[in-house]
Amino acid sequence: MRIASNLYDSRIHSRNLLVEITIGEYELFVNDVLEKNEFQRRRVRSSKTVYALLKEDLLKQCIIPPIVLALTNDVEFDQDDDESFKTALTQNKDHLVILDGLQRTYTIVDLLAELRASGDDESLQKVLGTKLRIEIYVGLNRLGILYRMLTLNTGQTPMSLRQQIEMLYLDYVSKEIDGVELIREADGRVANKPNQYNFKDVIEGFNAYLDRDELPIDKANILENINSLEKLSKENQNSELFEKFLSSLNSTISKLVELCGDSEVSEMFIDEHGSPFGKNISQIVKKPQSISGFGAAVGKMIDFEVLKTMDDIHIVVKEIKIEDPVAFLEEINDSLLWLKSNSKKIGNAQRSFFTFFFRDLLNHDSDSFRSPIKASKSALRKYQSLNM
Amino acid sequence: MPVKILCDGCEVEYRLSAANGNESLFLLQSEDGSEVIVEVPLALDNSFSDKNFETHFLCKRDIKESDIFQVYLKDHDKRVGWIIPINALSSSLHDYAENEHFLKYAFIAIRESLRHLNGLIFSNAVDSSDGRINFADIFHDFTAILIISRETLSEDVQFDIHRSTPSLIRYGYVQLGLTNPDRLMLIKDSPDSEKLKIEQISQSLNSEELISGILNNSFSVEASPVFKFFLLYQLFELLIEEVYRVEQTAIVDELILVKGDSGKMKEGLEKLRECLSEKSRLGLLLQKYAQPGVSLSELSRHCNSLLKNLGKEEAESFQNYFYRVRNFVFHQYRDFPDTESSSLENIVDELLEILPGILARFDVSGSNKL
Repeated sequence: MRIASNLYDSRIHSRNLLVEITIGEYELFVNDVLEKNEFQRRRVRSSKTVYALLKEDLLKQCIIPPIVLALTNDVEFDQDDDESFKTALTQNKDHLVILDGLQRTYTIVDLLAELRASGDDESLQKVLGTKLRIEIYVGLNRLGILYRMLTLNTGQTPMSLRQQIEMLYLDYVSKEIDGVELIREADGRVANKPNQYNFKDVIEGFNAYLDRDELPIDKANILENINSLEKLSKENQNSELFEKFLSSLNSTISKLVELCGDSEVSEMFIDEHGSPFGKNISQIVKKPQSISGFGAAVGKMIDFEVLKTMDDIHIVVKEIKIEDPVAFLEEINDSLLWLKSNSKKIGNAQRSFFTFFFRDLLNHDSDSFRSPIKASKSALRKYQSLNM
Repeated sequence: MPVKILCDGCEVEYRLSAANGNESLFLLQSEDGSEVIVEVPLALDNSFSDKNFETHFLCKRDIKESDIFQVYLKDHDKRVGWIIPINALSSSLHDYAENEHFLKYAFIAIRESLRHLNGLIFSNAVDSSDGRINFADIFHDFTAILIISRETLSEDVQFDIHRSTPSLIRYGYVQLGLTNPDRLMLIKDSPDSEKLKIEQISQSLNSEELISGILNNSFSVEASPVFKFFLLYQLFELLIEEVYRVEQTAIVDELILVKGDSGKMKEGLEKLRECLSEKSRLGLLLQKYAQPGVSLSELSRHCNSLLKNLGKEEAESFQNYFYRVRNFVFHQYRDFPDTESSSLENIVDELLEILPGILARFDVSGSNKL
């Protein structure tokens, strides 16, 4: 291993080393990475011809384009001593992430396995000794990794949108905020307890808060999201803001759940109207459409100075009143059923409805202030006047 | 071009390479072997996988996600397929999302639309930076897929998209071509029930492609009620031309038989003169050749209301009120007040209601008498 170049990337605050390494050394570093890495993207089925050709080229000791890795923890090493870096890398290989060159790595690993299986030791040794170039970012944080992947990675198989979003906010999963438990899809569990929320839904809601837009996140604004997070991060508010969001969401939903109890829409309502959006309050307000609507509503109310901070929500929701929970559940379902029959995109319409619902419910200037049943009606009227 | 995927700012063609209904997985592949997954949130059922279907791309302005209809041929009262909006194929929030029959057709609709999409159908170029695309993103929001099961058809029960156009247009559905659906001006309500009933243009007429072309290519993108009226009147022109051809042949045959009998010859010539009149032929059309199958009372009301407002004499019979409106629009449009545009729009709407029936029941034998 030889360090050929050592530069500092001021954009993502990380040292970038260009290293010459043999394929044999590379294999030792990345074998575990392919198994363990939390950021790991799946292996995609791509052009067989291209990778078959790459294998043939590797047998001919072809130089392939540099592979880009990141070391997610900061390591101490002597910058003028190649061996010192190699030792540091070996000791920290569990923290390696492949940013660019995953398919090339799979091809290398496959080729080595094939050569070992065929017993062609001469070719195996030749390939193991072939040199390749790797770029390694040292001490790159999660945001930096994502930025690097999104802006600089020209590979054909980037991560899915969901993976990108989850990665952005992954640190929050393990944090306990107000007794709330965030459940990831990958956990294979269902968020069915009052204090449990789907991680993905809360992330969408927080994103709706940041963007002041309840509609689903599209690919383009992931980059904007990173920019806003970076800004928040600089102001050292990042973590606090997410916690405040989750806490105010939980406060609002818990209050509605407390007021409605076990009430459900009547059988007569179901007979007349068909399957409701949600039979009980949890089934209604814990859906992603509702959580995103809440996020966008709170963001807009802060912009319009209806709320000073998210902390105000805890005070406002204390005074929410529901006289007849069944009547409220039927009213809100009635509005949501209307949207189901009359919208171009039902999901987007429901998100907009919930934005109006929470804005009216939490706005002291609104006629529907602290009255969920009135807010169910006024939210639909507002949606209709804007969209019909 | 099949599915267009944006790659480094360039459009690359991808074709369907695999469709797995049980996993709701559709795989597209480019010529160089790169693959993109088409995401669908429905639990599709591929049990109709090996059956025979025909696919038609339609569009309808402001189509709703819940505009999912079973397609019936009215005369046979037989379900032959489904019309499904693109947005409903990419959503699990509508009422059919767990309907077992729908999920079988939805699989076919997605697979066949990906298979049959070509450069003659308007579609979007989709960004796929993460190797996945949402099915609905491929198409314009107004797009719908009409799937016809060939197994439900027989020698007696045929389906022809051109012959079905008047019924589809009546509900706002237009055949999708290269025109951007944003240009659609036609806005019509969907059927009240879950069935969309189609009446096909009669086999007595062989101008179905011309009729379909006028409705799909010209009428659907026209905003002005005057031009819309003009275009729909072309269909009446076409029908009464046919009426003239049949009537004239019969009269000429009659004249040959009465050669030398000046009284009967005069009678015959009088009939021929009558038959030359456009207004008379309009009357004959509905009295003898085609019953619309629906009431004309609304058309009569709107035509007479317009005639009254224009200071013209009202009339009772179809040929009189309709022809008077036609005359005013064609010959006196310069005097047409802007305030009456909505009245003419109402007439156009009513014509769209009655046209499918008239075109479906048109019978050159003239046996369709009232």
